[in-house]
Amino acid sequence: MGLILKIMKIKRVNLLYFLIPGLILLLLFVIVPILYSFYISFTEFKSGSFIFNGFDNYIKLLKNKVFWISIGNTFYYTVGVIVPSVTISLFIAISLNRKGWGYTTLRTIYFLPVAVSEAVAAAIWVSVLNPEVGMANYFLEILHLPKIGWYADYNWVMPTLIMVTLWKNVGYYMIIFLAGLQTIPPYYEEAAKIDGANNWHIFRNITLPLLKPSLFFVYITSILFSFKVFTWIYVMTQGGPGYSSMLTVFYIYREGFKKFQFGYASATSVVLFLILLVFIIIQLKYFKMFETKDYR
Amino acid sequence: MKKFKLIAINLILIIGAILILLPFVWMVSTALKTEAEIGMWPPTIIPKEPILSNFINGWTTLPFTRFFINTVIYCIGAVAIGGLFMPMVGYTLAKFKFKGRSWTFLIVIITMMIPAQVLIIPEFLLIKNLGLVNNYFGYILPEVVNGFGIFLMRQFFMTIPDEIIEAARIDGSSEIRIFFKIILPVSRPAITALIIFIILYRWNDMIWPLINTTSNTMYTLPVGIASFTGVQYGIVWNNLMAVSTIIAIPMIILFVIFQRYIISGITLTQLK
Repeated sequence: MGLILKIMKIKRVNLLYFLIPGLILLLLFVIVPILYSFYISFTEFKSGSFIFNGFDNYIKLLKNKVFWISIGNTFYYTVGVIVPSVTISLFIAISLNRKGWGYTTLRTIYFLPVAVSEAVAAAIWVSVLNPEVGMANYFLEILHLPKIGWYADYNWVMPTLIMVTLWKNVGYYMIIFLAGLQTIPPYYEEAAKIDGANNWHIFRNITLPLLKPSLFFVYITSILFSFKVFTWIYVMTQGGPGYSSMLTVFYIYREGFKKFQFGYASATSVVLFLILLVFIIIQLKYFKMFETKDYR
Repeated sequence: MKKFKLIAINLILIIGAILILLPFVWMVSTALKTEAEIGMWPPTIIPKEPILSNFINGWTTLPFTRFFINTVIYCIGAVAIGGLFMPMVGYTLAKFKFKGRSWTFLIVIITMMIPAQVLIIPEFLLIKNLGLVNNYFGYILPEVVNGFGIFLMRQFFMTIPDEIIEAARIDGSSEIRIFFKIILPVSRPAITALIIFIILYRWNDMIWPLINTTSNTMYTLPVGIASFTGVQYGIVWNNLMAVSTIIAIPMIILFVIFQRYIISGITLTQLK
C-alpha cells in the first residue's frame, strides 16, 4: 500500500479509496475483456481449451460471405438511421421549441417510445407489422396500396428495421436538440430578422452553427447505437429472411453462442471495433472541417 | 402565408404524434381481443368483445413476476455499484493531481468508444470462469463501471470550483467527508442523470441477461418477451401484447411523472 502511494505520489491516503474500487471494476470487466478478445481472436476453441492458430480466424473471416453481408447491412442500417434521425428530430425540436400546452403534450408523446424497452417495442412492432393480421397492412389496404411483407420480406426488412428504430429514438434526439436550442439566446434571431434575414438564413447561419455540439452528440450516439443494435434483430428477424437483416453484432452472437466459435467471433468483434474507430475518427475530422466562423 | 405555414407544420407534428401513438393503441387493443378476433380481416381497432383474461394468461405463461423481480434487482444493483464508484473515479480525475492521471483519463475515453456488445465473448468467458453464470452479479458486473459514466461525472465535477473543497479542508474535514457531505449534495442533477442513464441502459439491455442465463428463472423482462416471440410461429398475440402492456404502461406513467428529471438528465449527458 505504502509503495503504491509513493509511486503514484499521492499525498492523501483517502484518495485511494475513491479511485481503486471503480478502477478495479473498469479494469476487470472492461479493459481485461478488450485485451482478452484480442488474444482469443488468434485462437481456436476446441474441446474446452484455446489453441493458438495465428491469423486463421481473420483469414476465414475476410473470406466469409455472410460476414461481409453483415458489415454491408450494418452500414446500410447506420446511414439509413442517422440521416433521417437527425433531420426528423431536428425538425420536431425546432417546431416544438415553443410554449403552450399543445406543444408540451406533443413533446411528451414523441418522448413516449423512449420509456418502452427495446424488446417490448420490438414485440409491439412484430404485431403491428404482421403481414397477415397486422394493423400496418390494414392501413395500406385502406389507402389502396399493396400490402407489404415488412420484416418477413427480403427487400423490406432493412427499411422496416430503420423505421422502428426511428420510432424508438427520435424522441431521445429531440430532447438533445431541444436542450441545445435552449442555449441559443432569442435576441440573435431577433437581430437577424431586423437585418432582413429570412427563416432559412436564420436556420442556416445561426441555429445550425450554434447547435453543432448537439448535432455532433446525436451523430456519435446514433453511430454507437447503430453499430451495437441487437434486440430488434433478435426479437424481430433473427437475421432473416436469408441473411437480409444479418447485422454484425447479431453475427458475433450467432457465431459465438450458437456455434461456439469463440475465436472466430472474437476476430469479428475486433474487426467491427476497428471499423467503428475509423468511422468515429472520420466524423471527428469532418466536424472540425465544418468549424466555420465564430458567431459570438 | 406565415399563418398557413404554421398550420401546416402543426398538422405534420400532429400526424407524427398519431404515428407514434398508434402502435401503443394496437398493443392495448390486441391485448383485449379474443383469439378469434385476432385472426379476422379487416382487423378491428376497438375490440368487439374485450376480454381481460389475456393479462393473466400471458403473465403466467412464463414466470413473468420472477422476470420482473430479476430486472429490478439488475437495475438496483447496477445503480448501487455504478452510481457510487463512477462519481468517485470521476471526482478523483477532476479534482486531484497524481501521476498517471492523464493516462487513466485516456483509457476511460478509449473504453467509452467501444460498444459493450463487441465484448460479449470475452466477458462471457470471464463470467463463466468466475462461476457467475446464472448469478445476479454475472448480470450486474459487466459494464457496471464504464467509460461513459466516469467521463460524464468527471466533466461535471470539473465545473465545481476548487474553493469549495479548499474551504472544507481548512475546516478540517476529511476527504471522504468532503465528498459525501459537500460534493455529492451539490451534484444532485449530475448524479440523477447518471442514475437515469444506468437504468435506461439496464432496462433496455438484453444481450447480457441472454448470454448469462441458462435457466429461465434468471431471465429478465426483455429476455422473457423475446422468448415469447422467439418462435415466430404460433405466437399467442393477445397474450404477448397483454404482457407488453403490463410492462410498458407503468414505465410510461413513471416517465411522464419524472419527465422533467429524465429530460434534464439526458440533457446533461451531452455536456462536453
